[in-house]
Formats: sequence, C-alpha cells, structure tokens
Amino acid sequence: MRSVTIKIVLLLLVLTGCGNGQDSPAGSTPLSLFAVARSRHPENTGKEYIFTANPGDCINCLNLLHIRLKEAGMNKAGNVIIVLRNHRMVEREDLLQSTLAGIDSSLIPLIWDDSLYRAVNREAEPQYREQSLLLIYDKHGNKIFCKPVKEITGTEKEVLEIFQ
Amino acid sequence: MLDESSVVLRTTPTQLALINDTLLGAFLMDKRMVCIYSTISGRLTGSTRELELRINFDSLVRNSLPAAELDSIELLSPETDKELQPNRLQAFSVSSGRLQLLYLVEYEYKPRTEAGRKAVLESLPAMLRDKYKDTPGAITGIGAIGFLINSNERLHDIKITTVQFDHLPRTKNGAYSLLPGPGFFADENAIYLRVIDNPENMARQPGQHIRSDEHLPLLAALKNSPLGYRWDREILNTADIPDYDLPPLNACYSTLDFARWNDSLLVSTEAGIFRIPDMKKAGIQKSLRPGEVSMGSVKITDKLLLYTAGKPSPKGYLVPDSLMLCLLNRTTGNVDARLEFPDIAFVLRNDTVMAIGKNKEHYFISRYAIRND
Repeated sequence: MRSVTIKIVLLLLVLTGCGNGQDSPAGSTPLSLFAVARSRHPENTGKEYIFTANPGDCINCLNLLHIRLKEAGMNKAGNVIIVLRNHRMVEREDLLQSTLAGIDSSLIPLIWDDSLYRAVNREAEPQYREQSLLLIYDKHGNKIFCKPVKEITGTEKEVLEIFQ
Repeated sequence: MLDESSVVLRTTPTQLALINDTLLGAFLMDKRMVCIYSTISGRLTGSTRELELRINFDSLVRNSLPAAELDSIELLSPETDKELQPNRLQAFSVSSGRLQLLYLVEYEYKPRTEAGRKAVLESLPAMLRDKYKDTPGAITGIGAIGFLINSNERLHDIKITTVQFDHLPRTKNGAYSLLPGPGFFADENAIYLRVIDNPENMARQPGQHIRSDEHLPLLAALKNSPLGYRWDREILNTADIPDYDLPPLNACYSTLDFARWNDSLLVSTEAGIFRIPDMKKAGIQKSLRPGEVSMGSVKITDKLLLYTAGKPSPKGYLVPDSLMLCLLNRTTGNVDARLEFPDIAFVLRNDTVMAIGKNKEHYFISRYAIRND
C-alpha cells in the first residue's frame, strides 16, 4: 500500500504545475486523465468531471454545452476541468466570449492541449468522438460515465450532483 | 492574411466564389455564413450575418405561407432567433456578379385543426407521442420554407423568392429530397442542386458500391415561376452515365461545381463534366489516376481545365494529404501539372489560382501563378 501511495504522489508531482497549454500533460491512459484532473484539484477527494468542448459542434450542441458548463460551475466547480484542443489565440478568445462565457477559469481550469483532448475522446464510444463530451471518474479513478453533453438528460445517476 | 476581427475561422471555407475582380465569397459551413473578403487585402467587407439582421424572417414566413395553411395554424413568433438563425443559410453561388443565397427558414406553429394536431403527433418520436397524446394543446409543429435571396456584392439591393423544398414528387424509394449544400447554382431562371431519393444513400459504407439497377438521382432543376422556384425535374442520374463505376461517395461530401463556358453552363460531378440542360458529357473531362476521385472546384480557360483530385477516405471525403490541384491541357488532353493543394475549394482570376491556406496562427489567401511555358 505504501509503495502504491508513493507512485501516485510522484505522478501528481510530475503533472502538477502544467500551465494552460504551456506544457503538454503526458498521458494517454485513463489513470493519467484522472491524475491530470486531480492535479488541478488537489483538495478534492470525490469525483472528477472532465468536459471537452469542440467548437465545431452544432450550434444547438454548443448552446447546450454552455448551459451545462454553467450548471457545473454552480454545483461542482471544485471538481470540474474543461479540456480543449490547442486552439489559436484568436479562437480561444472567441470561445471565451461565446461557449465559455461566464466560466471562471480560476475555479474551473481550462486546459488547451491536443493530446489530452484526444485522450478524452478515446474514452468515448467511436460514434461519440469529437463531440463535446462529459467524462466522469469516481474517487478511485474509475471511469463511470462518458457521453456527449447533448445526449445527457440530467436524470442519469452519475450526473445528479452536477446538474441540479 | 484573412481579417478575423469580427468573424473567427475554425476551419477553411467549404466553398469559394469570385464575386468580382477584388471580392471573394467564402462559405463557412460550420457557421452557416458567407463572408466576403477583399482578394487584395484579405479584409472582411461583409457577411450574411449582417444581411440576416436586416431581414424579418418571421414576417417573411407569414407572407409566404398560403392563406389556407395560415388559417389552419397559429404561427409562433420565435422568442429568440439565436438558435435558429445560424442554421438557415444552406448554400450560395455567384451569378453575373450577384450573390444567390439559399435559405431554409424554420417556423414553429400550433395546429388549429384536429387533422393538423394528429399529423404533428404522428411525426413525433414514440416517447413524445405518448407524452403528448392526451394534451394536444401542448403540441407544436416545425415547418420550413425555402427562400433564395439575390443580392449585390455589398449585400444590399436584395430580391427574395420562395423556393419549394417540400411536397416533392414521389419515387420508388420514397420522395425526392434536396441537398443544397454539396453543389448549388442559381440564376434568374433556375436552380440546380444535388438531390437524393433514398436517405440511406447519404452515407454508404466503404465498399458498398452502387448496383447496376440502382440508378441514383444526382442533380435536379427547379424552375422560376410566378409562385417562386418550383420543382421542375431530375436532370442527371447514374443511369445516364454508362461508365459510372465509382464507389458512391458520401452525398454530404461529394461536392459539385458549376462553370459557365461559352454559352453553356457546365456541372462538374465526381463522374465527369456535363452540359446543362441536356446533360450530355461535355467535351472536356477530368483525368484521374487509379483510385482517385475528383471533388470541389473546377475552372475552365481557353487552354486549361483546373480541378482538385485525391484519394477518398473511408468516410467519403478527400484525404487532405492526398489532395492535388491538376492542370489539364485542353489541347493535348494531358495533365501538365499536379501540385499539392490545401483544399478542394479555389477560384481563378486571370492567371492566378487563389485558395485559403492556414498556418499555426492565421488563415490567409494563397496565390498560385500559372505560367504558360
């Protein structure tokens, strides 16, 4: 148990301090995704909620994503991160004024990273990839939910805490 | 560099058209808008978003619905246009320096008659049908009307004509459906656009070739009339192309292009170039390598035929890394030059080919000079 604890701490230390798109948080494994999310919320002991946002999604999908992100921010800001591609600065600014408008990035970290974005997409069913997704890990790092945001009804038990 | 001060690009335009010597129209499919850029400075001079703000689509729909239909429904004014507006523009083309913009405008309504309520109920998914069958007052239906907006290069001086999108003729597979996106041309007399009659043909599986008895419709014409642009006829079918043995591409990606040549209008499809309206194969044809298909822009000069070609992906679009711009010598019939090209859309102004390129931070107009050695 002690050696396992040391390994997880080392992994967190390696990944902590990744800036928004400054460094590329390595990892294509589910544990790494969970570890990246945890590194942004070191005091969190509960679930981790990872959103992706694809600006190429349909207009209505992006509207719905905006609504869900605001709900998530109100209910579980301390457990949420948003992962996006490493977009150009002008696209980032455009997103911050539209789909991500009103999101407090000091509470909900935005990570602009292509490899992490692809890693989250790999967790989804093939027909769902490249859509704006919600991925949820339990406190042990087990994936318990992965669906496009537009498919979420809000009544699924895994999302009850975050969408009230 | 393209001006992104008010419209940020997320992907290259799916279609380009030269409006005049100094203005280029670019269709941004993800935003459903046409942006007009200066070919000299890259400055954004206008967009259809500004045009749409000046048009009262609600009023347009009310004035276009037949009186009998208007009496049978309660038309609901949209509380906010923000969700519907961006999805309205379907396609655009340029004819005689004027933009032809094809819109499909949705409207929401409450049926007033029992037959209307029943029709809306039947159209709902089963889960919703069960939910609403006992509360008919809550049912709303969605309808749509097509409009062609003809405007000048400054998006003023507009004329609006209705376009028939529904009640199209029946076929053995169901009924025709218009697909304006992947290929569209309009002038004062007619509209030409892609058509299907079987939704399964929208996206065929890899290796699922067209059978010899299938005869897929490819192109249709709508004629301008006192009632607007109305269905005329199907004008091109795979049955009319004896050597049509290409794997069927995804109908959404398989783009057409139209070109005026002498007094004729030509249409370029993946199966060749045809003359409208008799739809005979034109004397000039694209030359392809084995396994190659051609989609996107086609331009014709006295000496050259320019087109893009490449390898299709399993999903039906051209693989970007394989995309080439081909210059076919019309005299010899040989492809004099092939060069790697950024996209399937390009325009030709005199001896300069223009396309939209992208580096890490910017979109820009790429220029390629044609040398006649």
